[in-house]
Amino acid sequence: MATAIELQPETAHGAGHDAHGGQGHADHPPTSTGLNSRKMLMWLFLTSDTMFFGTLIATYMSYRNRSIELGMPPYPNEIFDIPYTSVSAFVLLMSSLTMVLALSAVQRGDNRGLRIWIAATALLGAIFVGGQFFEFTTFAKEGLTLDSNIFGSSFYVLTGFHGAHVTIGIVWLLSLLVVSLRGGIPAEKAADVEIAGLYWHFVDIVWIVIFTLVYLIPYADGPEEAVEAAPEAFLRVLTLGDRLLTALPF
Amino acid sequence: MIRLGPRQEGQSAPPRGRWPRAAAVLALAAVVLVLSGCTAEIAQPFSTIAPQNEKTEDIQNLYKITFWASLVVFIGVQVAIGYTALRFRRRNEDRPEQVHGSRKLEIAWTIIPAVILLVLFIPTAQTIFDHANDADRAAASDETFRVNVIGKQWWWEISYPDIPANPDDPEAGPIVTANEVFVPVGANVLFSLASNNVIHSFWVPQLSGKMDLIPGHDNKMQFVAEKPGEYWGECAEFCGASHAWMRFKVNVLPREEFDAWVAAWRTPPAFDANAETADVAEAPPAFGACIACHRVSGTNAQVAGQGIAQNPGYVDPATGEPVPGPGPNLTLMGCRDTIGAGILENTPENMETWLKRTDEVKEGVYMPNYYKQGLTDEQIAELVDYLESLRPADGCPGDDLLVGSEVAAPVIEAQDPNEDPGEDPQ
Amino acid sequence: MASIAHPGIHAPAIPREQAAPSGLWSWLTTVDHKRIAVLYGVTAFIFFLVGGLEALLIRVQLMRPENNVVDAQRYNELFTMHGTTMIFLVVMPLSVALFNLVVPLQIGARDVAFPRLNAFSYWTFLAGAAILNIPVLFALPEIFLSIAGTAWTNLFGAGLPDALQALGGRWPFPWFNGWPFARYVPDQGWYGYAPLTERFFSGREIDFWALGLQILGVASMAGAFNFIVTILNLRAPGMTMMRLPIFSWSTLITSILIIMAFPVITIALVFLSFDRLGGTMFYGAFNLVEGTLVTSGGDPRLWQHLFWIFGHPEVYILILPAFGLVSEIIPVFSRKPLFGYAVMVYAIAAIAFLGFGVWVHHMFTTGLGATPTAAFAAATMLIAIPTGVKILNWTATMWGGALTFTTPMLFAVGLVSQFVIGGLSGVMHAVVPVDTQQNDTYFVVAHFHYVLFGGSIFALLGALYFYWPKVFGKLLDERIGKIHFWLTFIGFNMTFFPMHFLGLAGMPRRYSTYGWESGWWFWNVISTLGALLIAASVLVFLLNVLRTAQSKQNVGANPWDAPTLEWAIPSPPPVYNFRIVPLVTHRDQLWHDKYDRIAESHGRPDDVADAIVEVDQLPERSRLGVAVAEAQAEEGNIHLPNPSFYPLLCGLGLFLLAFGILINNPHIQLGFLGIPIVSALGFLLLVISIYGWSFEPAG
Repeated sequence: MATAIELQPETAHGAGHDAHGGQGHADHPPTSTGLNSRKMLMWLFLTSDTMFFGTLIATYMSYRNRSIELGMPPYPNEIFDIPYTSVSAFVLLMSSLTMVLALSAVQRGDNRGLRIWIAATALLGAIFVGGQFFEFTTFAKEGLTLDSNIFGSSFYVLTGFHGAHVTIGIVWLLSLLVVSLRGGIPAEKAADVEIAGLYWHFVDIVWIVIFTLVYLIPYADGPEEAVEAAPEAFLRVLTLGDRLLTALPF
Repeated sequence: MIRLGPRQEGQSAPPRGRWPRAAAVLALAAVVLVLSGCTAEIAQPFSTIAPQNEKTEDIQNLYKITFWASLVVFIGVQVAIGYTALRFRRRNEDRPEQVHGSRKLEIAWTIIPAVILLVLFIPTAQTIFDHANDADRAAASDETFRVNVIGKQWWWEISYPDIPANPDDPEAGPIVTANEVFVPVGANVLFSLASNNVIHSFWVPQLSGKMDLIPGHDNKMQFVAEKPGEYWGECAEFCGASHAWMRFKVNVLPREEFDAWVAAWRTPPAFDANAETADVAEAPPAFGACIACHRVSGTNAQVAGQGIAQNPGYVDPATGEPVPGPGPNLTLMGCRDTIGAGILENTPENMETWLKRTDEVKEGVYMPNYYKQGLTDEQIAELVDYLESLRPADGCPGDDLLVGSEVAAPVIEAQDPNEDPGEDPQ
Repeated sequence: MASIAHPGIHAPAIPREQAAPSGLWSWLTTVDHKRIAVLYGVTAFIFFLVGGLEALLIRVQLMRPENNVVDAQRYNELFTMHGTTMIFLVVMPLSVALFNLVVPLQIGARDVAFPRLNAFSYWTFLAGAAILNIPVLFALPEIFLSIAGTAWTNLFGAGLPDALQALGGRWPFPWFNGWPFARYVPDQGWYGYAPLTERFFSGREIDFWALGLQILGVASMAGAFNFIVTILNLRAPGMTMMRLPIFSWSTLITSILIIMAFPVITIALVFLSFDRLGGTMFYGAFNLVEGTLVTSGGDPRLWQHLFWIFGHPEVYILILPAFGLVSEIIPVFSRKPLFGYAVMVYAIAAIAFLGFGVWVHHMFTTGLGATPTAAFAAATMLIAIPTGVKILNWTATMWGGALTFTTPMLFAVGLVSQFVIGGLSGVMHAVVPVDTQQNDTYFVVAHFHYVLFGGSIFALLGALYFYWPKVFGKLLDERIGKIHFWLTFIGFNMTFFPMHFLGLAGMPRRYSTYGWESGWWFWNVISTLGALLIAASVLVFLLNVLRTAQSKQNVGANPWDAPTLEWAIPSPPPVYNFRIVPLVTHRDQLWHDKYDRIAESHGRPDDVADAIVEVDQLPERSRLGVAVAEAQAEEGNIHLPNPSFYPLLCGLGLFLLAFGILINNPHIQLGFLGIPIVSALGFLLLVISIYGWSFEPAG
């Protein structure tokens, strides 16, 4: 450690990070934070994706009881088959477990385990998407379409957006599977699997939120109750301060 | 003049050539222009700083507080920047003292603006709640003068839910007008603002701040009409091609004149082309093209719909063709001050212009140009006569109305109806 | 005991194989952040001229009452495209150009964290800009013909000569005119309020606008991810977050705003596209079924909420980079460090944070009720506090300094003084009852031009002068530069100050014309004259660029005697930026090296080169970095990312995907079995490029 490196060419600090994780590569210096740049990128993307889903969910929530309020069927509480969707939600949750097992396999350098668990994850994801497709066609038969009422519009766009996320995840996992079949993924490239896993877990967690807010929380029983839960409910939170502000001496 | 001009070290000399001098002359000219503009008397019927009732006075007072506070801050900061810029010019190679900050100063200029803003916020909140309470009280009171406004592309449908068109016939609905609101002086007016097409904004600057008309929402606006007069209003939310020509007037009339106006509205027009054929007055045959969309109270032209449930006029997404909906109610048309929501002064020549060149006078208008579609000059002349005749024989109520504010009544210039209408789009 | 020297002081000769490549292909495939900066800058400047011409036409139309230079439809198109262009195609990309140029250099990195993603951002940006502007391109001859016709009629009292009329407002290429795009120029305002954008009240132009903005959103977000990772991860050893130059701080926070705000507008636009193309009614309260109104349950106010939840942070996305630039420029020309660095950082963060909680102040006249209104008024006023602190800290930076009023400094101080006006009128809008009079009038137009022109554009122009020598090795002419500044300054105030009076006189925004009786003509005349001055100032700037391009000078590494790392390396910088990755010990590193060390060594400059930093004093991670650096140094190569054409192909794929949707309409049908082929090709290209990219070695 006693060499002055003045006048000597420097390292590839800052370049070429998008193909290699940096982690485990001797020719890449550690980053300023010590975190892998690609993993950080995925975390940032997920932050962004949270806002995507946040907007979709907020919109759904503000229109939640609108169709009931207006008397425009089909109504959500009549059309949902909660046991069915619970099963597919459970399938998706299980895929997070297999994803963890896949990552653990690749970190051990166990390529066979990796293939099995990645394939299982993709399969479980495919079962979920297939289930969603079946659910959508059933709903459509019962008259709920994208343009049948505001419930249909906000429901299909929200769950469809999530389904598209799962689909992209499956394609990603299958691509990793192909890479693993054509020579394997070494343990030092485990970050490739880990990043896909981050995405996959996020999509699962989002489904838990959607499943709770869209399916599980009861809907209004009739138009009167629905009016109470009218849109811009998130702004109504502010009216809680009404008494406080009107009580002020001005 | 303060010279903020740069001085440079080394390679290039300070630039005091012709160009900066020209710029200075230009700037001086601009200042002179600006000052002369300030002194010139320009009538501004839409002025936001000429309040005519208590509500706008409140707003004006708040504006004054904000303005003077801003001016003090503005001058303070500009003087500080100017003084610093002049005093601390680089004069030698010495390095100035390397100051990195001052916690005391920074805390001070965090707290001072906070205090100023708090002082500003208290009357702001007070006025917000006062005005909201005024509207709530008006909504709850029986004494309130209620007006329903529906914004259309690009005109206003005004109706008076408490004033029936025919006191003997509750089915006849309320009195309906377009682009002119009539209000008795001293009334506590509550507007119910709605739209079934795009968003508009209802604004009479001298009587109230603006309020949007949003489809699916029933917004309220309240003010007291304190002084008789005519007050100009305009649409303040972009609503499509002719957004600039969606003006209206609020006529605040003395009580007896207002009652005369209601009576005049309920009286069938004197013009009667075929009096013996029916017990209602009949519009001339050429008006047949108009009655699909327009109504004239007390005549056989009662077909067109009114109210929020009507097709507002829209563009068919499949064909891209406009589909017109009901147009303005033309009862007492002869008494209106303007044609086309403030675009032309109401004169026979302008009415002819309007009928012959509708789509040129008001871009995007849903009203078809029947002149281009085959109405003859004679038929147009007949229509002009008829429309201008829609007024009481003894003159329009409120015609001699003085403008309440200090501002002059706008004069809308006439156009030559027979000017070359340009090439036919067909 | 290891020691490290400071950068650029003894840069050895560039290895031959690493000399910058040239030619068109090298630009199309470049992943070099400095070249991408130039691409962004040039593109944004071209759009600055386009948006400026649109503004000029707006001003000429409003010059006198009942003017007819353009008709109402064209006028609506002009203000829509002016706003959209200036925000998304000028101020944002110019800021991104500076992020690209400055940030990696300022933090001592060789490039951004993901060079190909960076190139992808640019090409995607270009794709979105193209989608937005294709209709404008097609409409140009019509616009010129109609203006020429009006001018001719006004001057000679007769219609345009037949020879000109015969051109018919068309491009001289027959195949080009077969497309009906000239009718599709967006015309609904940059804020696109529904239901005016719904399928019943507008045409295909809204689809161009919505898809163009969505693609631009992808570009912005990709860029923002990249800069956040770059700033967090690629800082030179020793550069702690509180040693980070303030412009990099503002880049970091702006990027965080982008990744939080753009998803909201993207989803809002997705809803809009579903409304227009998929038959939903997210934003329309009424559906029209064969002329009959049917309540749909949608709510136009949802668009307003979503748009402004994005739209207000967007305002700070536009202004925070400007604040960062000014915080770099003022200390340099005051020869004093930034006053209250930490507070300036906190102020940026506070403005960004509060920026997400004030969107309702754009909706004070929509009838939301007294309590939300009062709460958002209070939140809005709060923003004035950190902004005020920034203004006063800049002034305090100058206080006691040795000020040199070069052109960049003039623009920077111009911002400080002009932004105050915009800030104060902003506070006026927080006073809700006053806002109900000022909302949607020219008072607001004056306000945001003082913020965006007097703020963002002033800072960006100043930054052009400031960083020009770093990019091209030549200083822009100072004499012309000062003329440029004063013309801009006077023209700007002449254009926009009168708009305050117009707003007070009740002139609403977006009026294509106004009557004589309104009393608005006088200030409109002044304003238009001012706009002509601004146009002249842009010409002066172009003259300056041409003059400078002809001059032969090389100003060396640090012509301004600035303290940050980008000034340590030669101008223009070598392709690898830093031969030796610098070691950072101070916030104003170069000043420390140049002045403090001299002082510490009792005024013997010779000692500077020998001054060393003890590596053992560094935190562990930085020591690791030094160790790896030493290991690589022995191999004797500087590792640089390879050029790649996949980012370009991805951008092209996205463009074709969107374009295919837009041209698949009743007028043009390029479909096969119901699938729009252009879109399908674009999608295929996108997928192939993503795979190619994934498996391409980054070098």
